[in-house]
Amino acid sequence: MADGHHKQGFVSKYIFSTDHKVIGVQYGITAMLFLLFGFFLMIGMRWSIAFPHEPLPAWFTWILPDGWEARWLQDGKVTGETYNMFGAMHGTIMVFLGVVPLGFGAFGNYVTPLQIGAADMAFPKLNMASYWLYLVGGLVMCFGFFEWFSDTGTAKSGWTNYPPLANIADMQAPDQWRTGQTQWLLGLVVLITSSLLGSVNVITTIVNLRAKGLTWFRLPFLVWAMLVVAFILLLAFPPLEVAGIMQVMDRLTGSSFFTPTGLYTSQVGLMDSAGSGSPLLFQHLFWFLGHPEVYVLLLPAIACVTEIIPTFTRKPLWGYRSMVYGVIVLGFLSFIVWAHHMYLTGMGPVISTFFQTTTVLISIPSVILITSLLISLWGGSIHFRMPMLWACAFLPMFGIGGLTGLPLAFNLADLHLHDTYYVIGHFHYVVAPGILFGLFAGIYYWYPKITGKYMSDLLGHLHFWPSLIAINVLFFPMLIQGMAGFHRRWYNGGDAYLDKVAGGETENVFAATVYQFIDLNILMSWAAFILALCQIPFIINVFGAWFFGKKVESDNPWNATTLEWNTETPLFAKHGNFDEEPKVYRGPYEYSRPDHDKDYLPQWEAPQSKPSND
Amino acid sequence: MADGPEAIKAARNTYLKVLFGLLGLSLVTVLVAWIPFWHPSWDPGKVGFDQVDMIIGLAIATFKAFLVGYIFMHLNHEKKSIYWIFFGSMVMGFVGLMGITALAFWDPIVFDGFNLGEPILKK
Amino acid sequence: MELPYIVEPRKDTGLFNSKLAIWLFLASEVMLFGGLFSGYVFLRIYADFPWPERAIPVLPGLINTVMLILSSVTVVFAWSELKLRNYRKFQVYMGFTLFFAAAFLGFKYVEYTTKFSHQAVKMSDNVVVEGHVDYAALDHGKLVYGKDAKKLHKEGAEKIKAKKIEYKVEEVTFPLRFRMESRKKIINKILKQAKAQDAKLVDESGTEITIDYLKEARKALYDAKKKNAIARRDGLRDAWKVAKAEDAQRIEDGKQAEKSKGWQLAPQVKIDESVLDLANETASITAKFTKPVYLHFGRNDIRESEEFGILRDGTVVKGKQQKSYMDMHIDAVDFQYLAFDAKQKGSDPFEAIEKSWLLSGDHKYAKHFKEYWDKHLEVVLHHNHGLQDRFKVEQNVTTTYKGEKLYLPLREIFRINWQSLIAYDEHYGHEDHGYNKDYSTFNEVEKSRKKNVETFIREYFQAPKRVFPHLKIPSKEVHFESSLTPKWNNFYAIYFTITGLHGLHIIGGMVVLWWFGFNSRKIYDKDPEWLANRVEVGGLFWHFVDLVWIFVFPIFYLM
Repeated sequence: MADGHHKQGFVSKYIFSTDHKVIGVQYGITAMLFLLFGFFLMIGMRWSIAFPHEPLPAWFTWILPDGWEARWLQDGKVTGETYNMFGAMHGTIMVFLGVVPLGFGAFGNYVTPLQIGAADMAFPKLNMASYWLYLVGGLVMCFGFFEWFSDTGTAKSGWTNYPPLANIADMQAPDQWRTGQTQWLLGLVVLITSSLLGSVNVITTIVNLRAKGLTWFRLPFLVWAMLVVAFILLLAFPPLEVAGIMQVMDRLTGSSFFTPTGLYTSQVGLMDSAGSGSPLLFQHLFWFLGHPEVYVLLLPAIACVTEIIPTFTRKPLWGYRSMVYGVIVLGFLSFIVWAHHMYLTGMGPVISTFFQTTTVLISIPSVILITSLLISLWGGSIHFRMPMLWACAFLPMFGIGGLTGLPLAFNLADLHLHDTYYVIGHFHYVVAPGILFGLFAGIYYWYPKITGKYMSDLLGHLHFWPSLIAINVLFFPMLIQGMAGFHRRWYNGGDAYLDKVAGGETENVFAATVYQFIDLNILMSWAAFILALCQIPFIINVFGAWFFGKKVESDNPWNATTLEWNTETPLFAKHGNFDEEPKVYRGPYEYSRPDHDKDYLPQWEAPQSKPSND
Repeated sequence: MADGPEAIKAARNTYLKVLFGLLGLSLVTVLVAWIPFWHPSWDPGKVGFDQVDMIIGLAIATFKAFLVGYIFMHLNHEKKSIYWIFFGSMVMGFVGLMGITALAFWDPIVFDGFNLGEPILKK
Repeated sequence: MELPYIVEPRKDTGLFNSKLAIWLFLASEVMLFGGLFSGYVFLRIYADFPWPERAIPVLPGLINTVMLILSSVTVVFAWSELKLRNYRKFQVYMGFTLFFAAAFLGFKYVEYTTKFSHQAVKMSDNVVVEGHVDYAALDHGKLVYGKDAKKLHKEGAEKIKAKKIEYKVEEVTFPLRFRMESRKKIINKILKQAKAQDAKLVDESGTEITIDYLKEARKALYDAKKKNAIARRDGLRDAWKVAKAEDAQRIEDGKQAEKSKGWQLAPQVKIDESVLDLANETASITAKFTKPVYLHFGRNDIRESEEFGILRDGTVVKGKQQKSYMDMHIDAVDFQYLAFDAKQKGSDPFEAIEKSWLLSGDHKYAKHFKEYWDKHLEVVLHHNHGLQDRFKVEQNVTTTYKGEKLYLPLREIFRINWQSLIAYDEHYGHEDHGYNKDYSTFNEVEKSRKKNVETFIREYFQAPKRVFPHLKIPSKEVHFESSLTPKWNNFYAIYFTITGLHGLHIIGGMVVLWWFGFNSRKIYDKDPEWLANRVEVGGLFWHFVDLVWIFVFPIFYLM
C-alpha cells in the first residue's frame, strides 16, 4: 500500500514515527537513559559494598525524595532489602532495557535496512509498536520505584527471579497487583511482545527486501549478525514468557506452579498452597532464554566492531565466510547450553556432561569470530580514529571475558565458582568493557551519518582512556575475589563474615580469606565512581556535537564501502532512504584492491568494464 | 499457491474431505480413550489409563495437525523456506523442550556406565 | 522508494512479506505453547499427588473441537471465495467462522464457570470432598447455617457463602504501613460489619475510626519518619566525620600505626540522639469496639489462631475464634490423596479411610458417608472379581484390600463420583434422589452407571435438579480449600493457563477476522489481491490456533 507523500506533522514524523531511522534513534536514546539509570543503581550498590556502615553520600542522595529515603534507607545506609531491590533492577535494566534495545533495537533498526538497500523495515507500523511497547514495558518494570504505583518497591529477588523467593516476595501486600514483582512480570510480558514483533520485522526485512545484486554472501556481517539475533529472540523468548505467565498465575491466582509441597516461610508459616510445584521448572524455562539472551547482547556489538575494523584498516575483513558460518552455528548451539547456569541444582553426571560438552563447543564459533577480527588487523593501515579505538579495545576486553568463562563451563570448576564474584567478574567483563565498548564504537561511527556532525575527538578521548582504565580496575579484582570465595549479592561486601575480633589473624579460614580480599571492595568502588564521571564527556558529546560538532562535508566521511554510506547526510527522517533503487555489484569489504586507484571500492559503485564475481 | 478458479474449486473438494476426516478422527480419539476397561476385547494393554491410549491419542492428534498444516495452511505448495522455519521450530519446541523434561526425569546421581538405574518415580 | 513485495511475492524466496512474517510468528507461538506443554509434562511427572484424570467432562471439549475444525474449514473457504472475487460469499463464510469461534468461547465460558463454582476441600486427614457451598446468613452479625439460614434468607437476609471464618472481636490493630487506597476493601469490610451490628470502632482518644482518620494517621507517621530519617542520616554522617578525624588524629599522635578500616571504626560510630529532634512515630493504631462484634472473613484473607487473626495487610483482630464451618453439598468424595499418602508411608489405605474423620468422626453425617463407602467398596470388589483373568497379572496390581489384590485403576477404587453417590442414595432409599426407582441389586447399581441414552440425558440435562448429600465441616478439619481454580492443584493450574492463553488467542483472531470480513469493503475495491493475502495470513493464524486445540483436547480431556 503506497502511502501518499503528504506532509507529516511533527508528532507523526518524530514521535509516533514509522521511519526505522527515527525509531532506531528513539531506541538508542531510551536505552542510553535506562543504562544511565542502571548505572546509578550500581553506584548505590557499590557504596554499600565498600562502605556498608556509612550512610550514602550527599552527592548520591540529593536526587532521592525524603519519603523514599525514609522507607528504604536506615539512617541513610543501604539496607539489605534496598540492596536487593537495586541489584535486581540493575540487572534487569542493563540486560533487558539497556543493552539489547541499544544493540538490536537501535543499531538493528537504523543500520540494517540501509545496509541492505531497503526503503524501510518490512512493517513500519509494527516497528513503531515495537518501540512503544518497549518503552511501556520498561517503565512498568520500573514502576516499583514510585510509591504511587507499588506498595512494596520493585522486584527484589535477583534479575533471575527464582521461585520460591520471587513467588512469595511481598506476599503481605494487600493488593498483589501493586507489588513490584508482579509489575516486573507484567512489564516483562509487554517487553517480550515488543521483542517478538521486532524480530519478525528484522527477519522479514533481511530475507525479502535485499537490494538487487545483494546475494547472501555479499551481505555485510552486521546484517548476518542481526539475522541470527532476530532468530534467537524469536525462538528463545517464548519460554521465558511462559515462565513469567506461570509466575504471575502463582502470585495472583494462588496456583502452585513453582511452589513445592510443604513450603514454610517465617512470615506466614505453612504456605496455603496446593504444592507439588517445581522451582526447577522455572530455572529451566528462564535459562532457556537466559543463555541465548547473552548472544543477543553480544552479536550486535561484534557486528559494530566488524563493520568498523575493515573501514579503519583499509583492508578486507579476514575470514568473512568463516565468521558467517560461525555466527550461524553460534545461534544454533546457543539453544542447547542453558543448563550450565544450573550445575548446582543436583544434576546428575549425564546431563551435566551433555551441557558441559555443548558449552565448551560453543566457545569455538566465538573464538572464530574474535580471531578473524584480530587477524583482520594484521597488515592493515590502521587509522586510530575514535570508533577504531573502541573497536580495538573491545577485542582484548571481550577476550578476557570469554576466557574467564571457560572455568565456568566445566561443572567441576563451576562447583566452586558458581554464585561467586568470579561469575560477576566474568559476565561484566564480557558486557561492560566488551559489549558496551563495541556499542560505543558503533555510536561514534554512525553518529556523523545520523546527525551530519562529527563527535568531538577530544571529548571522545576523555571518555575512552579513563573509562578503559577504570573499568578494568573495577572488574578485574572481582575475578580474584570470586576465586577466594566471595559470594554474589552480599550487600555488605563480606563484612558479616569477618572475624571482627581477630581481624586477619583468625582460625576461621573463610573469615581470613575475606579479610585478605575485602579491601579490594574499596578500590573497585572508587573505580566505579570514577567510571561514572568518565561518562560525562560522552553525554556532553552525544548531545553537544549535534549543535556544536564539526559539520560533515561528505556523505561517506569514513570512506566506507557498505550501502548505508550511499545516502544523504544527515540521514534522520528521510522517507525511503535512497533516491533511486540501489544496486549492488560486489562484496561488502572491498578495500585496497590492487586493480583500483582508490583504497576502497563501494558496493554500489557500478563497475567500469565488467562486474566482479565477488 | 492455487490460482485459477478450477484449481481453487478442486482445492475446495479436498478441504471438505479433510474436514470430514478431521471430524472422524476426533471421534475416534474420544472412543479409543473412552472404551471402558471392562470390555477387555477393546483394551489391548494395561487396565485404565495406559500408555497405549496416550500414544494412540497423540498419534491421532499429530496426524490431524499434519492434515491441518499440509492442506488448510497450504504447506503442500509452499516454498521450502517455510518448511524449514516451521519444522525447525517444531523440532526445537517439542524435541528440545520435551528433552529437558525427559532428561530431568531420567537423571541418576550415581553414574555406573550407561546403565541408567531405576527411574525416580515408581508406578 | 517504496516497500516492495507487499502483495506480489519476491521471485527468489517465493514469499510476500506478511506470509513470511506470519510463519515466523507461528514459529514463536510453537515455542510458546511448547513451553507450556513441556511445563505440563514436567508438572505431571513430578506431581506428588494423584493427578486428576478425566476430571473435565469430555462432551463440551469434543463439541469445541468440532467447532474449531468447522471454523478452520470455513475460513479457508472464505479465502477461496475471495480469490474467486465473490465478496458476499466471502463475508458469509467469515461470518460462519466467527459464529463457530463464538460458540467455542460460549462453551468455554460454561466450562469455566462450572469449575469456578465448584468447591473442593482437603481435610486434615487428606480426605478430599468436592461440591457446592451452601449459603449462610447473619443473625445479628453472627453466622448461622442450614435451616436457620434458609429461614432468614426467606425474610430477605443477605446470602453469604458458608465458608467463612468467624471471630468475636473486641480489639483491632491497624498497622499504618501500606497506603489506605490498597487497604480500603479490607478495612471497609470490618467497618461495614460493625455498623450493621450497631457497634463503633474507637481508638484510645475516643475518635471513631474511618478510612480518612487512618489516612491522616499514616500521613503523620510518614512525615515523622521522613523528618527522622533525614535527621538520623545527617547525624550518622557527622558521627563518621568525627570518627575519621579522630582516627587521623590518633595516627598523627603516634598512638596508631595505620588507618583504621571501616569495619573497625563502625562500632564506635553512633548517632548522638540527644542532639537530634526526633518526632514521634506511631506505627499502628489500636481501636476497641464499643461492644464485641462478630466479624467474618474469607478463609484466604486471614491467618487464624484461637485468640486473634491477622489479615492480608497486617491488621490484627483480637478476639475468640468462633466455631466456623464449611457448609457444602457434596458431589464427590475422593480418597485418592489419602491412599497416595498411605502408600508413601507404607500403611494400609483402607484402614486409613475407615479411620478418617469423614467416616468415623463425631458428626451427624459420618453414618451416611460410611454407608456410601461400604457400598462403594462392595461395588469395587465386585468389579474386581469380574475382571477377565488375562488382566489379573502382577503388573496390573494397583493396591490390595485385606490381602485381595485389586487390579482396577486407583481412580475407580478411591474416588466416589456423583453418579455413584446418586446410585447409592437410591439404593439406600434416601430422600435425596431425583427419580423414583429402587435399586436393590448390584446389577441395577451397575446399570445406572453404564452409558446408555437414558443415563446420558439424565446426566447432562437433569443433574442440576438433584440434591446432594449435605456435609458441615468444622473449620479446624479443613486443611486446604479452593474452588476448582488454578489454586486447587497444578492440573487445574496448567489447564486454565493453557486454555486461557488459547482463548485469548481466539479472541485476538476473532478481532482480526472480523476486521477483514466486515470492515474491508474499501480495501476490496481498491486492491482485492491485497485483501486475499491478508485473509490468507489471518487464516494461517487461525489454523494454528486450531492446531493447538487439537493437542489440548486429548491431553487435558482424555488423559
